[in-house]
Amino acid sequence: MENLGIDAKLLIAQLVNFGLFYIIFKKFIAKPFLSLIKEEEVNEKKQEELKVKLQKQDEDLEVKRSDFNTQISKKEDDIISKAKERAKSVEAKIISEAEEEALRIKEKALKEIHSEKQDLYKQIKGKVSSLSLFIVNKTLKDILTEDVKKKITSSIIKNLPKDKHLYEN
Amino acid sequence: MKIKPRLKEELRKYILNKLRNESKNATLISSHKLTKDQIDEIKVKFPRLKNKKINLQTDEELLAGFIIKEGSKVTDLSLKAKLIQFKKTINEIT
Repeated sequence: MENLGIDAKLLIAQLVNFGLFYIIFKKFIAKPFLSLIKEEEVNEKKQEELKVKLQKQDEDLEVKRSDFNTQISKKEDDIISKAKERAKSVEAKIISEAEEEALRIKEKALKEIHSEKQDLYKQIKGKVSSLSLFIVNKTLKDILTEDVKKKITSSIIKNLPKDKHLYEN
Repeated sequence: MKIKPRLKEELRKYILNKLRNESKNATLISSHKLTKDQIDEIKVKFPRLKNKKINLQTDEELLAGFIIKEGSKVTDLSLKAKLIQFKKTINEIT
């Protein structure tokens, strides 16, 4: 073996070294590494599962969100239609109140016009009668002579009943 | 407000005196000077004037007829009063 250039002692020492290296490698390096890899695999699996679960949850949430949106949209439509109806009824009420108010104002104005007309008519009537009386008075003053006055007075006295009280003021 | 008793008495006397005088007097206002016959005829128609002193007055505004004033009592039988009454009637009717 020596002729072949192989040193037996060195070979044995190398073998022992290799054995020792193998034992140390297996015990302190390979095992923790494997467990670490396994742990990583488990974690990856868990992550994958979690991802799937999250995806599912996402999908569920999307469905729920879509349903919720639909419901909200329905409610919005409902509220808008109710608001429109209410606005219509309020509008009708306001129009009816305005019409009533206008009618009331119109009636009041008509009454006032009628009253003013009556007042004016009374005033004119009063003025006409005053003017007539003035004209009659003036004419009588001009045409009544002493004799006529005496005759009228005599006629008044003659036509009086005895102890007349009806003319007393 | 309290009125003094003396003032009150004076006022009472004055009013009584005035009323007494008024009850003795009467005023006859006419549009023209009344004749004696007319006055007598008026006294016949108003017997309460017989015992009263009559003051005669003329007022052309009366147009015709006469007014008798006895204190606060007035009897208007003038043509002017008739016209005013006529005016009132016209106003009431129309």
